[in-house]
Amino acid sequence: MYKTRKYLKCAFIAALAFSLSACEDFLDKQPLDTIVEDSFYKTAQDMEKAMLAAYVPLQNLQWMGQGWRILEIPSDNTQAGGTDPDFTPIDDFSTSADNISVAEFWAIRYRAVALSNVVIFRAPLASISDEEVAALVGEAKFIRALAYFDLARVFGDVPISLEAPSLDNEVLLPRSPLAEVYALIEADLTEAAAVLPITRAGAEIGRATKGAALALHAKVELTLKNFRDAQELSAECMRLGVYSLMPNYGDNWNIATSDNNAESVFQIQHVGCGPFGTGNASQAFFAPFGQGITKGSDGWGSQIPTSPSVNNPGTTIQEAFEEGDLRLFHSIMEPAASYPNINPDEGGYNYPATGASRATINIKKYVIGGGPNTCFMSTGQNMHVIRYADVLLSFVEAAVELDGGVTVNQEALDAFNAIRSRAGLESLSIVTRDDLFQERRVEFAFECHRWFDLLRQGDVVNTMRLHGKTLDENKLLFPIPSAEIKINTELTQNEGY
Amino acid sequence: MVQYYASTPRFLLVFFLFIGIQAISLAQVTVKGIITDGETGETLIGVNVVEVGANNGTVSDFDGTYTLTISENADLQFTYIGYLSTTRKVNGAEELNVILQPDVATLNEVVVVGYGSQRKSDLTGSLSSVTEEQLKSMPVTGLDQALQGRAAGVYVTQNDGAPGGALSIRIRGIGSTLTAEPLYVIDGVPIASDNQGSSATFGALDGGGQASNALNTINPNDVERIEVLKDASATAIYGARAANGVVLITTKRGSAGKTKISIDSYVGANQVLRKLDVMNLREYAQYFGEINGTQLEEFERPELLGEGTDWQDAVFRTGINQNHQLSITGGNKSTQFAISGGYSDTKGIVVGSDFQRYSARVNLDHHINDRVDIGGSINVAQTNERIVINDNSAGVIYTALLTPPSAPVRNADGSFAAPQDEIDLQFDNPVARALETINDNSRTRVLSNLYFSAELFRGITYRTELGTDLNFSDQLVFFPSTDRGNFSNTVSTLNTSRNQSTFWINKHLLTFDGKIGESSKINTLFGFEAQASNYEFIAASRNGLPNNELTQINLGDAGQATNGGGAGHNSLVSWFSRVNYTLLDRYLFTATGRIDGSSRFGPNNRYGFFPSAAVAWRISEEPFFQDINLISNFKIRVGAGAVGNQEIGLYSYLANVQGFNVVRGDQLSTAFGPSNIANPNVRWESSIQANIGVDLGMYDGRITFTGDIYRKIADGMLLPAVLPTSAGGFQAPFVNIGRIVNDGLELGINTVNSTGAFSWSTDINASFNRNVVESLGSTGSLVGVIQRLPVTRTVEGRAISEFFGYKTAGIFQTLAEIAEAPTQSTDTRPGDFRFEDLNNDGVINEEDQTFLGNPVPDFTANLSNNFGYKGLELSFLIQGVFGNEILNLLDRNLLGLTDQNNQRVEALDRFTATNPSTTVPRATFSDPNDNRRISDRYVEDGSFVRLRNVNLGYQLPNALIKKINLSSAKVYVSGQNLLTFTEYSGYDPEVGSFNQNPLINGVDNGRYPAARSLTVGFNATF
Repeated sequence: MYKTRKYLKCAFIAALAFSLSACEDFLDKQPLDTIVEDSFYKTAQDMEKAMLAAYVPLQNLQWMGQGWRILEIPSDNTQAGGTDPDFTPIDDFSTSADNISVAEFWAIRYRAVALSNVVIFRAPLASISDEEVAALVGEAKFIRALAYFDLARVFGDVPISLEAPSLDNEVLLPRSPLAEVYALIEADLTEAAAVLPITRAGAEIGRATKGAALALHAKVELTLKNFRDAQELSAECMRLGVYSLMPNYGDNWNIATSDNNAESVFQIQHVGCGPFGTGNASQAFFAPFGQGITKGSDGWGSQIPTSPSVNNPGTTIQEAFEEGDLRLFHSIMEPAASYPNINPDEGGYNYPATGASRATINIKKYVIGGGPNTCFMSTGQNMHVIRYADVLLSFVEAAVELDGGVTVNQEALDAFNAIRSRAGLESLSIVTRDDLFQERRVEFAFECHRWFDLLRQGDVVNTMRLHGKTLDENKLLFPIPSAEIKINTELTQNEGY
Repeated sequence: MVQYYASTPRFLLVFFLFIGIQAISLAQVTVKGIITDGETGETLIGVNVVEVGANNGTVSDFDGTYTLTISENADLQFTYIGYLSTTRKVNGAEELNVILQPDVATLNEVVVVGYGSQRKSDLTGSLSSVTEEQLKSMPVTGLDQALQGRAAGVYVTQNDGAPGGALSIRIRGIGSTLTAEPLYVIDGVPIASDNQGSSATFGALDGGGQASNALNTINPNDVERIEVLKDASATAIYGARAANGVVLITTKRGSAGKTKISIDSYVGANQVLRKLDVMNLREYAQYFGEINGTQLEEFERPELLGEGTDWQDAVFRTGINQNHQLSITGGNKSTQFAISGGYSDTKGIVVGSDFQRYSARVNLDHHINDRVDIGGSINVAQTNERIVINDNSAGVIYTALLTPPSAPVRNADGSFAAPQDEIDLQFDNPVARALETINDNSRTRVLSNLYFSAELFRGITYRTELGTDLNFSDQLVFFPSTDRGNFSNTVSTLNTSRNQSTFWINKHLLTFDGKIGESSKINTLFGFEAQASNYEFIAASRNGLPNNELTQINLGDAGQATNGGGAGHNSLVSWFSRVNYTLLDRYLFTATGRIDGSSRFGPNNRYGFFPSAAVAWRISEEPFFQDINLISNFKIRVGAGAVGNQEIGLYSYLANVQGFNVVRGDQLSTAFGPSNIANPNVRWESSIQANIGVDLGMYDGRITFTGDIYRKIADGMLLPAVLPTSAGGFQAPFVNIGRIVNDGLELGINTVNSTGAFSWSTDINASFNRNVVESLGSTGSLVGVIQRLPVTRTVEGRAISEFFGYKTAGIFQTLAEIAEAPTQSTDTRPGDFRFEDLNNDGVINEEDQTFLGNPVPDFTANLSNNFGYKGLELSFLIQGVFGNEILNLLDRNLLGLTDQNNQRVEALDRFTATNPSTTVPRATFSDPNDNRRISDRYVEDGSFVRLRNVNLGYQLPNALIKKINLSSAKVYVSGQNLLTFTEYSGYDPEVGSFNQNPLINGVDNGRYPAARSLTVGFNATF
């Protein structure tokens, strides 16, 4: 009846008086099977769902599942397994601006930026309390900072988008100077740390916390060489008292103990065998090729650890581990290594004494074998982004840098030696800059930190030349995706591409 | 006395003269007679019969008889609209039967225009009519098929030759990248013709198939005439939906007179136009050995083998179609009716494809008094279609050609067979696919329109109409579980859906007809109309049914059940007006305007205004022209206007949110984020059109000529905005940025070559159209994709949807040639195609692709002839399509030479060491050189000339039929597509567009070809 009234009003007034406005009601046909943006983002529940959307890109394949192509492959820890036009050139520093992996890396991070901006724009307009608004905005800003930190380190100057996606806002943005990008990251993380909860419980476990914001911020300040800030931020994170190192290094790589454990400061949440984009795909890429470990049809050995060879006179990751380092077993599959936890129903997995078919050694991290919740390109293991070990070593790094390249600061020594002792290694009484980066290298092998560590450590060009690579300073930044420049003519390309 | 005597003769003379005059003037006679139609022999009701020179006359009654008392030797004039007047001397006869010949000069023919009708001579715009006579001789399933070849500028192609298959009608070229199909209006009710919404496709199959024809529910036998409005001056009254032209369909109505009962029936047989030559078993066996490397034992002596299975014979059949219609028309002066019921059943030429239609129609008109009329139409139809997958490389026709002749159709036990295990086919037995895979589509449509009209004052009439269009459709798609040879589908799947849509329209029209002074006439129309529609659908699927016989949803695996659904609605409110002004019966002016308010546009752009204006000058009515007897009609028309295309989706101005899978803690959950970036200013695609036309009649209308030139500028064409991924990767908004220009010329000539006992008339029409995409905004290019294969590209400066790919330059004969040539592949070998290095960079890569051909014809021409002699009628229609190309995707596999599929016989001439072919490449299993890439190898000339229709009818003599109480009876034989002249190597050069997509035309991917058919039928009227 109501609809009929709308029409009758329209028909009579409009037909007789020729008034257009009488028909507005009749012509206002809102979608029935989709939700219009302006009718959403109203309640706390709506905003919760909107906030979760910002985590979706992180869980997608392009963020970390294939992020190693950009974050790890260029480093001296890994090399491309086999030949793949998408990431072999990255290993060789011959990446072209058309590279699909680079384009995907860029796109997925900007997607996280956009979805965070939606929350930042919508939360103040929703019918929720000021505290709720602040918490949501802070959380969104953490995600935004996480994305921009990657973008800044990989591409240098990048466009800054602060608005929710709309044609009313400028979409063809020019690149902003790096300093402005970092200023935004710092501001976002400061705001996030101020409002985010220290711990999360129940269904919120895994979402950003105050500690995650502090830890990430500390890493940002290390990158910016603001070591005093870095030290304070990591110390503040340590003082929260909610994090500790897991007793065994391997606890972080055993699916039973790895997810959201005491050492986890920030992890990307995954479930196995869910819809595409919700699982951890690392096993698919890292597990040795042809070994049938995954019980799916994956296990490609796409990225493999560097090992000594005639073409690689530098120190490879295999050589970087000290004698007796317990972390080696959990990081690299070496010939004849035995993993009873992988496919225990088959009596465990033994890496062949002669190596797998395409590589003599392979990455062990994230390789957990088959199982009830393990499917093709999808395990349920969370992805580490920031472990507490990283917070500790950030603190140590700040101390080393502040102390002129070698520290005897007791707090720093304690933190550093906690990590070494867990690895079964003897404590050091002084920590040099080289000690610090060596420790980081083996502690975080294949966790997508090494390339940025090298950039902070400096002299990357020579280091990589020692590993048989041909490159110059220009290759320390990736090319802006060519498709992006084609569409957005405001963009310029990085030098050397 | 002398005086007296002398005066007597004079007196007598005067007396007799007086008497005589009296006698003449008093010698009244009563004449009666029957007036009949010279062509049909039917009696004519309402003919004016007037005594010449006297104020005396009558009209013929229901039986066509008249009675008039007149002076004995008077002349009688018989006049009737649409017929040549005749004057006959009575000469004292008491009975004068008159045969009136239809007027071949159709100047006073009344044609249907938007919201009314007009004398053809008063037209200022461009339209084409298809009359009942032309419709009658075409036994077609869909009424849109009847338009084929009948009108200049109207290019009709049958996209799918299956019974009930879809057509595309392109009026004056393609002017949109979204939809280029016209608006259909049936008895004043605009109807949804969106095929996608009303039929199932094989969604589960990569690439899908063709959707079926949304107009199938309309019974062509009910149609009286079809008008195609072509230029803006004719279409602008339909505003935001008129950019692609408007097709007006008028159904048959009753007329006062004796109740007539008519039966129309025909039965036809349909066959595939031709078969393609593929290898027989002996040839295949040899090929298999070569491609496979090792030979099968049973193939080792090919010469001992027979022909093998002819798979084309297995999937094609002679399809029988039948159509029966019973109609009753009649009424009296106040009430007229037309009632009809129809049944149509078509078995397609591919096994398993069927179409049935049951339809009923009632048209009623009642005159309450001289001023007030009411009436209405109601049409109910049900169609049942069984669709066979085609237009897909896994389609029945495609795979029938590819299946090796070594495989039998069935095993000894009657089950479907598979080829030898060593033969690795990626598809099922095509006959099994046709018969076991089910795609049933049944639709019920109720189309109705009621009207009330009243003359308020002299010349001012108010009319209101209420129309509805209700559609209910059910679809069921079942993929059976099969396990034959190397092809298996272990789990059957069943998808079923129910759709319903309702539409209503309410119109209020006010017309004024009058004279201004002595010399000018004015006719105006003001209208308001509102319409709304909504749809909803629900779909469910289950897998793993226990067998392939019972296909009900409850039988499937409940654990894997899925369901879905959706709904939508839209509305349109319009004000419109038309003014026709005629000065001195020779200066004609028409102006129209329409405001459309559409729910599809956002508040910023909700209303569009669509004006048009046209003038016409009937030069032949000028005094100075009266001496030119040769030319009976000479008119020049000039018109221009702006129209729109509102088919931009229902809500494209709105931004929506959508659910995303997200992991929350250790559980899956749903997040919500934007799905698209909206353009709140999105509006209709606008089309600015101009037309100049000439109408010429010579020899009293025995030769008529119509010529039109036009320009259509589709401006503000909707294209997706191209956004950088830094905008978040959301679905991009549509923006009004594109521009397509169509220029064309249309010619039509009609000649009446002979009248009288032997009648002969000829119709010729010809159309030229040139299409140029002038702007695509920032989009750069649009790509048309079939089964993930990019086949066409649309760029600025070229025609829409041209084929795009590589150019071949023969076949490499030696390794030395390969070494010298630009690099193609490291595995290029003699026998591989040499592709041209168009950018001369020494490498053959995607940069070397170019435009390979245009699927849209440059020129179409049609010729029809009608002959009549003493009840015998012969007519034929020849259709010619010239200058278009076809992309023959069939040959990618059928002459691919890269797998164990059967091949065309041309493969026998393949390159081998001993047969250095220059046209057919080598057989190589993995195709390392990618010989199958889209190239000019697959582009063929699509021109054809086709004998579309031949109809031979015999009108039984009146003397004979009167005995069996018939008033008329006719028997006929009709042939469709009897002859086709073409260079095209596939089944049928009339390829059409894929799912009416303006970006995919002329791509033959195993299309269901049109049939050659022979039909016999009769119609009888009691």
